[in-house]
Amino acid sequence: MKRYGLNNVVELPGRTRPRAEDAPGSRRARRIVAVGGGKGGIGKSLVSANLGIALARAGHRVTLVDADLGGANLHTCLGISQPQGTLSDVITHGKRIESLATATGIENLTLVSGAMDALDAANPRAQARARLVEQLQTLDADYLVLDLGAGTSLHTIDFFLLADHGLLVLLPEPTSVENAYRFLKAALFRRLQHTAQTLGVAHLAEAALGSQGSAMRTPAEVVKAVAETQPEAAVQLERSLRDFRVKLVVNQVRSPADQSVGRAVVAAWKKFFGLDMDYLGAIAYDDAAWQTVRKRRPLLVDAAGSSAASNLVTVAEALVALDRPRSAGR
Amino acid sequence: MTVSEEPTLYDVLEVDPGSSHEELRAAVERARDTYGTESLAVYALVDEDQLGELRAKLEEAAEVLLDPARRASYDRSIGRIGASTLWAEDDDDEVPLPPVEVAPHARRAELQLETAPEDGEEDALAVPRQHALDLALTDTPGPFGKGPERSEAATGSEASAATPSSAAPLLSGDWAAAVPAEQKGPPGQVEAVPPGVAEAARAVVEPEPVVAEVPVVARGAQEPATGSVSTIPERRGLPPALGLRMKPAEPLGEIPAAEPPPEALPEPGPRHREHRLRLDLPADAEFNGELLRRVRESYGLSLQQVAERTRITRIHLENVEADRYDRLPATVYLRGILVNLARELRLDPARVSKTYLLAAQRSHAGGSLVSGRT
Repeated sequence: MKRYGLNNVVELPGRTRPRAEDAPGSRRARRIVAVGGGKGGIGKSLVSANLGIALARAGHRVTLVDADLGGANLHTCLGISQPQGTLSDVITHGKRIESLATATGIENLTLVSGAMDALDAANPRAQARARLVEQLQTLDADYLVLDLGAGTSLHTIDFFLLADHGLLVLLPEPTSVENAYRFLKAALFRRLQHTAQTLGVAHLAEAALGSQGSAMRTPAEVVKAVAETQPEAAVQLERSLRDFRVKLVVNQVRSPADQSVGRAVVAAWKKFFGLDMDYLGAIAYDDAAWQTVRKRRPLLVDAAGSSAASNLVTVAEALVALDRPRSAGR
Repeated sequence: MTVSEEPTLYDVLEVDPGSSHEELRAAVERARDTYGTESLAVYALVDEDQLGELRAKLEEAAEVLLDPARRASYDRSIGRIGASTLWAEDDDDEVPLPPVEVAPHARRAELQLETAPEDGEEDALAVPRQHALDLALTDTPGPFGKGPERSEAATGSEASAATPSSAAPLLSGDWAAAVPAEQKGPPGQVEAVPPGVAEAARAVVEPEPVVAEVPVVARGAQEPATGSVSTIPERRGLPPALGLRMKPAEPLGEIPAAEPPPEALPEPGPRHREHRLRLDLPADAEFNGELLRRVRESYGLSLQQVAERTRITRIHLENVEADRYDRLPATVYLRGILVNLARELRLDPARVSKTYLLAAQRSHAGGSLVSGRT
């Protein structure tokens, strides 16, 4: 198991900031949704693009951000040419993200491309990352949908963590499940370490993490270890970890057994890590999906009647439902 | 007694304790689907040991809760239905090791009668065995099943083992405590039991010579035994329920024919029995083969009997008791053996497997740090 040393932890935009509702004057995206999943080719971009469209059609002002810095192709999914300005302009030229947003031909939906050609662009330095993150957080939109790249690079994980909704896409296949869990654990422990650092108990968390050799410790064990000497910090740490509430989408579902994978993942994650996960739904395996990709037309535009399209709309609705005044606050 | 933070078997299955049999069955199926070897959802999520542990817990839950009789007595033990307070009186809230003596005899006795003893060496135990038959209700349906007491013993001691983790409500189940320590970290980790607990345990466990009740009743039930048993201290104030429990046993009075001659009685018996009264286990006891053997003997159980009850082969049991780690099966299986054995001996399965496996690992590491607390 890969472990993350504290020296890797950069300043991570905290979840301590107030929500938009709390501070009406602040300019920031109402909700940031980050779509990740660890593995490549599992439909993250497809989900991001169509989720954006579904949200926009529902009347929300949506900005899609292609945060797959090394392999951006969200514009292709949307059937538009690569925008002139990209996130690299934010990083290297200090531009505002707003100025880069391109129309997509769909009402309420704009796109910020992440395509970068510079060699090191896919791995921005900590400072550049921080600037990017700060801008994303202040972007004026109802929903900001970040399409993350594959893998567990730091910026990918940081984007996932800064989001209000970290949306995990997985396929009912061992490879995808494996990568998804690796991604989740990496994100969870980065959050843990970051929070511990903020609370000044990094050494305790580190000790707890380190004391178990190669095996992954559960969040509860770390919280417990911290609680032995720093009870108040432990409470905050626990709260922060509970906040790590991932939203799950299972893509390319073909069989009834596939259909049950989503619930099972939610149950297993809870069982072993003690954390809640929200299941947003499954998306049927549908020829329309790849066909529309080849045509470079969004599924929701070109095959709105397909089952995959209607599944995606359901996912979008489930996501929006989470933001409605708390139903059962846990 | 206050039910601890320890997850109940219902928690393990993630069902409401009021669930119907059908709902439980569905939950078991669901759990097997979710956590079984075929399940994608647990692929690469945690290591195999953790999964094995969970699967064992699930199977235990299935085994108990899908059996209406065992479920009923389990329910009483967790205080769902008016559990017999007679037993609860003996152990206060934080008593980790309540009296555990009677039920094992009962089981043993039950066993003996099924397979009449052929062996002279077993004779000494004939009386308690014979008599305790009624107590064998542990595993059979009936209003006076001994389940509650048994399970209280289990939950009580588990509670103490779990104490540290109750400070971390983040985990739904007591996963942290259940996670095997032996592969995860230094020995120190296991020593999580707060210092006070052990004393409390000792204080409570010691004074109560529960076992004595067995011979007492035996006297009434079986004539020949009377004289020989007199060395065993009488227990004053038998719980009234015990008398009631006697009833179902009466028909068995006919069986004495199968009983061995009384003169064999005094030999091994008294020694074990006295030991058993004084066998106070601290909450932080570390179990090695020696300690497990002593607990077994304190119940007057032979290896063969335990083997039959638990379906663990006798060879394995011998090797466990002799700490012959190199001849024991892989950890995954060994844990199952230990959990089963602990349950049979009314010990906290988590603690037994954890400490035993830790000792095994230490020995693999070259040291001989095995330490059985007495």
